[in-house]
Amino acid sequence: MNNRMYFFVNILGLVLGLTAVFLIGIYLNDELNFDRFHKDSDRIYRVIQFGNYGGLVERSSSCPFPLGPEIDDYFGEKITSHTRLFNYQSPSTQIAYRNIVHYDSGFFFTDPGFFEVFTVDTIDTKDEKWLEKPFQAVITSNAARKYFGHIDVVGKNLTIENHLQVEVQAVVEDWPVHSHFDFSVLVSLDSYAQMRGGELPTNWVQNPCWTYIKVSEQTNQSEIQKSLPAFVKSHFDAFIRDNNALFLQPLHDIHLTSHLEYEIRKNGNMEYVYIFGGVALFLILMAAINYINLTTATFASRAREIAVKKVLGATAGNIRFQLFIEAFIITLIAAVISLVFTELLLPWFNQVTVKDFELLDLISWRNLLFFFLVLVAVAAAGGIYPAIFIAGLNPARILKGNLRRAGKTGASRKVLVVSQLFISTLLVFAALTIHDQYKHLLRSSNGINRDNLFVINARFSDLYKSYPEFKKEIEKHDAIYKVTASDYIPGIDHNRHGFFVGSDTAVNDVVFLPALRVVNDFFEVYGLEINEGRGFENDSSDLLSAVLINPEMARHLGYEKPGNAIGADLNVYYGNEQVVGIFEDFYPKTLHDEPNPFAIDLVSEEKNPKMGIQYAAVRYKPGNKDEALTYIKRSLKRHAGDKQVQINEYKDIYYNQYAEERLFNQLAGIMSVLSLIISAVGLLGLVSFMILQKSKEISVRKVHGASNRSILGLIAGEFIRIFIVVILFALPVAWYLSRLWLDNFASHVSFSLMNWILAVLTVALMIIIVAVLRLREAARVNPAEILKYE
Amino acid sequence: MLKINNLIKVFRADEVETVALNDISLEIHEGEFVAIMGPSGCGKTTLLNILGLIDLPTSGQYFFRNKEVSKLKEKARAKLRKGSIGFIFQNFNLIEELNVFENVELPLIYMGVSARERKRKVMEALEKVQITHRQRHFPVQLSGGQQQRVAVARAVVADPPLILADEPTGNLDSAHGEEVMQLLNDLNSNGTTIVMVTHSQRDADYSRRLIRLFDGKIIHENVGAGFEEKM
Repeated sequence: MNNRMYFFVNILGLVLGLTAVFLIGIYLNDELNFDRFHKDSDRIYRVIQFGNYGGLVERSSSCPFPLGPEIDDYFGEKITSHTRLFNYQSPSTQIAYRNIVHYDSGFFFTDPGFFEVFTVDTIDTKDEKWLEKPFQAVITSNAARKYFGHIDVVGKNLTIENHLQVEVQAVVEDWPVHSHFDFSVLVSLDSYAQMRGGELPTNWVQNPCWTYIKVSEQTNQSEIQKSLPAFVKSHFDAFIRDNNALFLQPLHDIHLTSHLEYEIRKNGNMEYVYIFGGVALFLILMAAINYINLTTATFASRAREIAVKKVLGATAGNIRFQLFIEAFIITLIAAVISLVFTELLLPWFNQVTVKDFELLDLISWRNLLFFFLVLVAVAAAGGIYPAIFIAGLNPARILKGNLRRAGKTGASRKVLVVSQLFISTLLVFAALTIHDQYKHLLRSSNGINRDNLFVINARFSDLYKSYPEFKKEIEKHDAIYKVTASDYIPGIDHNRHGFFVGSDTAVNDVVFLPALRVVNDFFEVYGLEINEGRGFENDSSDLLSAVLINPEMARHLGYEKPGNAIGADLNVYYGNEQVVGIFEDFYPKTLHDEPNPFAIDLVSEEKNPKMGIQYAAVRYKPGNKDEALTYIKRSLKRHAGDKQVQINEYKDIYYNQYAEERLFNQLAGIMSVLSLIISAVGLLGLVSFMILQKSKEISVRKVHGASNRSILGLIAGEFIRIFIVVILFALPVAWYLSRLWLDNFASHVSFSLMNWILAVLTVALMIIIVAVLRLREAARVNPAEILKYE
Repeated sequence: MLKINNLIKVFRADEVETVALNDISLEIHEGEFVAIMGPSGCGKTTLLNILGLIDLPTSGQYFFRNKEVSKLKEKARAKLRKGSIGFIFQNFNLIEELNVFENVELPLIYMGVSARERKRKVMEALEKVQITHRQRHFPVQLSGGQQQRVAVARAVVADPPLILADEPTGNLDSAHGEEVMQLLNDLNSNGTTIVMVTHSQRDADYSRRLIRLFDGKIIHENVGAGFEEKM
């Protein structure tokens, strides 16, 4: 390689590293800045509720209906405003304008305090106060365009879930995407009260309201936190006040650290912030190492220049400064190119991360400072070593032509190679492990037979009214096996229901246990195994007397052998029930969480249809998907009313739960490939350098009959020897890190030696490819030239 | 054994052309001990490199044991070099990372000699230069004279019929220089052809034939004592 080539490779390595770091930086910047766009966002807290029911702790992100106004009252001046959000506990709500119907996940009933707690920018309104009266709505400009086609919509009406007419009072700006929830349509909570006959629920048991407060400037949140137990004692219903506690959760912490039950939507993960931060650090380190390697590799030509300068009176300090400035300028050039690359890659990056980043949005003093610091750090990391190394060379020796002896580089260079190969191997291994775990999440059983299964979201539809007819009709069809329904989708989500353990039904003894309410044929349709006892009988006898539990629940209730729990009393407020069977443990949500104690209770399709018929499920016969779907749709038209219901394959709903892992998997793959390229670029320079460095040895060997291939074998061999050291060091680290990450999942793959070997082979292959690429260079070492000048 | 006709070697660096060898013709016979002398830059080492098949002439012919080799590819030249030419350099050119034994062993490895045979031959060569006791030492641990003896051992270990020596005593004091010259003399007595570049008249006196180079041309040739003129 000549010097121009070195320069190019040097810039290329830096550009790759910096581009990756910029992209990661954009992602992390977003993750770390959630919910900070509100005025006084550090004074906003969410109230969360933990309830301990016989050791089964419910960590709820939402609170009872009365809590918001009561807590505001109780703390007086200390709390300046509060707001509750309620969305029917449904992930999406049907909203319609004339014939334009959408399922909107941004629908909430809320208090007027919403606009005091949070910051909302007005676009158009006639009123000063919003959402103080029933049937008022505030919508965002995106929502306005979606439903009306334009934003000049104040005064127009929307229909919520077919039964609630609201009038648009104001159009406001959409929130930025880095918010832990976003809204499209807000409707006054009083509207919900009107629908219920004028009053909101007054009990403290049901807790579906996300409740936010803003504390006054003078108030420290700990003052409020301290008094919350007293508040619980004086306000909560007697039978739950002893096992419930409230906490304040800072708004800023929600996105990255909150993983409670009933979150508005799935939050981010602090761990991924750490992991990607670490990867960014690794990549920038690798780029800097490349810079060091490549810069010192060109020192043969630089050395003479520097020696002459030294002889002419330059101090080592002068030369160091010159080299550092050079490094900084090269880094700056690389950074500018990287910015262009980043801009070009953003559309793709946005697609992968499902975000909406724009480079221009990122310009801020803080970010510019960060950008500048990264540059200085890279220039310092990359420039200081060559500066010290080259500036310290002995000019007399250099001018005599004895370059090889003019400076010792062996040991420190090996450290650089070791760290680079170390990082590459770890990243490749990490990517393989993450990929395995992602595949594991998608493939492994959660206890539900996921194939050939449709789930119908029947919430708010009229399906519950004619469900028995619908079921009969559907099951008649050849393509369809059986139909069932439940209040939540098993394996995706669930609620807790009140039970009375033992025969006592005193209201004080209620415990809220994770449970599903289901109708007939539930176990058959979802393929959930029954281990002991029996399933539900399809006659009415089981309706108010039978419940099934899992082995975990049996243990929770005090039965060492699950089978012994059969016959135990587990009453509900609508009947005295007994355990009739034990079903196989399943993962009630994602594979992140262990199967916990769980109950499945049969409810009546006729008497309490809304309790059990929220999501219908249809198991169709294999190979009959399209036929089944057409038939279900036709039948739903007759039975579900005018609401268009969503039908999804269970599999798709299940896979969607792992969107975060999918993204992580993709990013890890990209980063590991990038790290391989960066270290290949580095090695490319390093092999050239070693050929130069070892030119005498190579010449002597050649004179004695060594072939070019054996010379490269020699050099690759040196790397492979170094690599073996790397493998030994990195193995325990890889094992430890993979354990650390995999332990986040209740069900996970184990440390795979095969992946480790694969990662090692990948990096070894890279070393060999790089060596082969430099074959011509080794061939170019001319013993006649080298030995003459020695 | 060696025959060159009208050999020209030109070095090109960017825009400057340097004629290192200018139309040289020469024949060296089996068993000769030839010394090449001349001032710095006269082309001595270039000639030796071409004779040693580690450099190619720009034009002209070169017959190595009756085979035209002036246009051979590197691979073929390497094959030819192995086992038939031994090299001795002014600055020894031992590999610092290898010990004495391993340095001497090197040519045998590239010839594909078995390990046991290598050990026997290396020990034999080390005995010849009387450095057996230093076989586990590294070059830096040896004196200049000892290093050059190791280099001689390396040159002879494969029993090559031709040895090329480039100022073999240039970095040695006179006593050690004497030792090395004696070794070369002994080799020549046993039939090895030797071509040596030197600055030293005393070294040249060991040879049977002296060639003087100046500006890439042979300006003078004489035959030393005890060698019959065959030309």
